Amino acid sequence: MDAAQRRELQRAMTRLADGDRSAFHPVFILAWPVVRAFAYSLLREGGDAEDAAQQALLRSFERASRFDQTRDALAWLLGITAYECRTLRRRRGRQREEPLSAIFDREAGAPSPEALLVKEDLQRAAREVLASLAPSDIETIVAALADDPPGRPHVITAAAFRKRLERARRRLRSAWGAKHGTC
Amino acid sequence: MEPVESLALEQRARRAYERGRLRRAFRLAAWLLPVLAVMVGSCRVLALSGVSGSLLVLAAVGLWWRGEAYGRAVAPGVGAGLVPLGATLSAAVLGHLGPALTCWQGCLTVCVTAGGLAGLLVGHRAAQQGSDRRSFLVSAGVIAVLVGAPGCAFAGAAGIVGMLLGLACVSTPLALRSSPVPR
Repeated sequence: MDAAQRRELQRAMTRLADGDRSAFHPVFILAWPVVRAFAYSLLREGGDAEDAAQQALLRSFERASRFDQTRDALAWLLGITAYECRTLRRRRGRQREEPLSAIFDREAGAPSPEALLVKEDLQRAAREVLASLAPSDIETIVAALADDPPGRPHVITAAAFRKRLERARRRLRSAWGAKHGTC
Repeated sequence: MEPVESLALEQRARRAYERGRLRRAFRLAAWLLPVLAVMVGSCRVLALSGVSGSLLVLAAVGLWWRGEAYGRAVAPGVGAGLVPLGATLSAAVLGHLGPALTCWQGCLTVCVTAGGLAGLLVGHRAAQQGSDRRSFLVSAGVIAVLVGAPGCAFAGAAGIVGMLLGLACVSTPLALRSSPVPR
């Protein structure tokens, strides 16, 4: 914007602040390219810059009746634009702190961080109790929990495995009771 | 930006501008509260001060929203209207005015004289408005009459008409005869 355009903007802005509606179009024509270019220089992302520039322009016109004619119109407009850009950047920063997918997962019924912590504690306690059992009992329980049906070593019969599992469970229950006081 | 988008943005900006002006007009109307309190307190006819006060707020908001000479006329109009309001109030306090219509001649003289003084103020200010002096004169005159009417209700309708005549007879020639002075 050259000096003549700047003077023209100052005159038009003063008239608009006084309520002269005929000054609206000249102010719009002069202000919009400057506001837009300034927003693009502050915000690298095109979409954000366009949003901020439009918001700044609307805010400037909304406040036009409060414009003090002793102030520089261009500086006043750029001040509002800078404020809008800063606000938009801050808002975007806050949105980046927590990704949207995390919010959507939580809303879709995924476990909360507290539930995950409790689950982790229980798994640790179970591992500790399991570690206190004899290796044969651990092997039997792990084989029973395995995905491969019927989950038993092929060298023993099903009835023998059931009996061995029964004994391993009993020992596991008593070991858990001895450590945590409950089953 | 496409011309259609630019046009849409300009329309949105225009609406924002009008919204901002209206909001500012309502904010400025808060300054009329002390004047309204004096109007209600000084008038024996509560309905008259109520109607006059409501019309004053409506007119002031409308004129401030419109802006230019109309908006600039509100404050001088209120100032001029306080002359008849204050004069009749002072006369009543000092005991120069009896109950309504018992000293009709005195009441009427006070109203016409105070109206003339208000006209002097309005006419003097209107003469300084250049080409806008007619709109300034009418706007300030209407506001002055609305402010002064409850005070002149001491003398009934004749008091209000007397104030109006005094104001019009002094302000109009003063405003229209003076050569336009650039603002």
